[in-house]
Amino acid sequence: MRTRAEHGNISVTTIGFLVLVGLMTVVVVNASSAFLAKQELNHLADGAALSAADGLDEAGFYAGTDVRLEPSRARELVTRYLVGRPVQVVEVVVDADTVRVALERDLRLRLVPPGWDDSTRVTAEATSQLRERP
Amino acid sequence: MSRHRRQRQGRRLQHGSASVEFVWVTLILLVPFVYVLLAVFETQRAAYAVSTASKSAARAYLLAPDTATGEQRARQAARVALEDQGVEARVTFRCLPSAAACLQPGSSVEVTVRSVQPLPLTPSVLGDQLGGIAVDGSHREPFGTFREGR
Repeated sequence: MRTRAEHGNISVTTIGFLVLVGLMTVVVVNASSAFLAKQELNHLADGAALSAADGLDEAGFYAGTDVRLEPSRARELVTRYLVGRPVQVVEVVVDADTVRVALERDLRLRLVPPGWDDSTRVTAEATSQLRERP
Repeated sequence: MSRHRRQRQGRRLQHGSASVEFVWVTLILLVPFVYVLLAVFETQRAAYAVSTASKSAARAYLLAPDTATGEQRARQAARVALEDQGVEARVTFRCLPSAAACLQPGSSVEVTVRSVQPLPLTPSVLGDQLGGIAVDGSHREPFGTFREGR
């Protein structure tokens, strides 16, 4: 019985081993591709937040109040900045002179073993402030 | 056939072939696999480099006191980011909405960094154009509307 158990082909073992290595590679490649997407989205969020900080409530400012951002204007500026980019704006939150922009993006992973979900989502957030120079 | 004889035959069949098979299968499958892996990582490295370079270049440009210094600093910033990853790339600047509006209120600057990453282990004898992977990154950064132009 022992000899029969040892019968077999080493190719099966080798290929199994390579499949395992392949799966680990898939994880690494996908992780770094998701990281790159995240980094890109971070940069976009930075730019969008900076744009949104231009949405000064001018009427209020010239009437003598403090610097305040106008939420609708900030949102419009964010939308304009992101034209043509495959991202969704999650929220644009204005708090007096500060604006927080949150973006998300659906990412299709490049290497996916058959039958596995190939999409994931990355999010990024950035804050920007409009201040009056003293 | 006696049990002993069967055992002996079984053992003889296993003689020698395992390591040879292992080496061949490994060579045939593992070598291309490692090569593809190297190419993927080279590309991802370049993608990281161009993305960071375009962002830092745009930032450096906007913080400069004038356009000439801006361009110089931006190139410097891009070079630092690219050198970190050992990537060579071409950096171009574009001011929006028009070329004359650089560092003016309401304008923005767009930096595009473009690199062609050669495939790993390709001999340079065959030329630069052999199977390069083009990677580019661009970033647009607004100057701001409510500030003095430079």
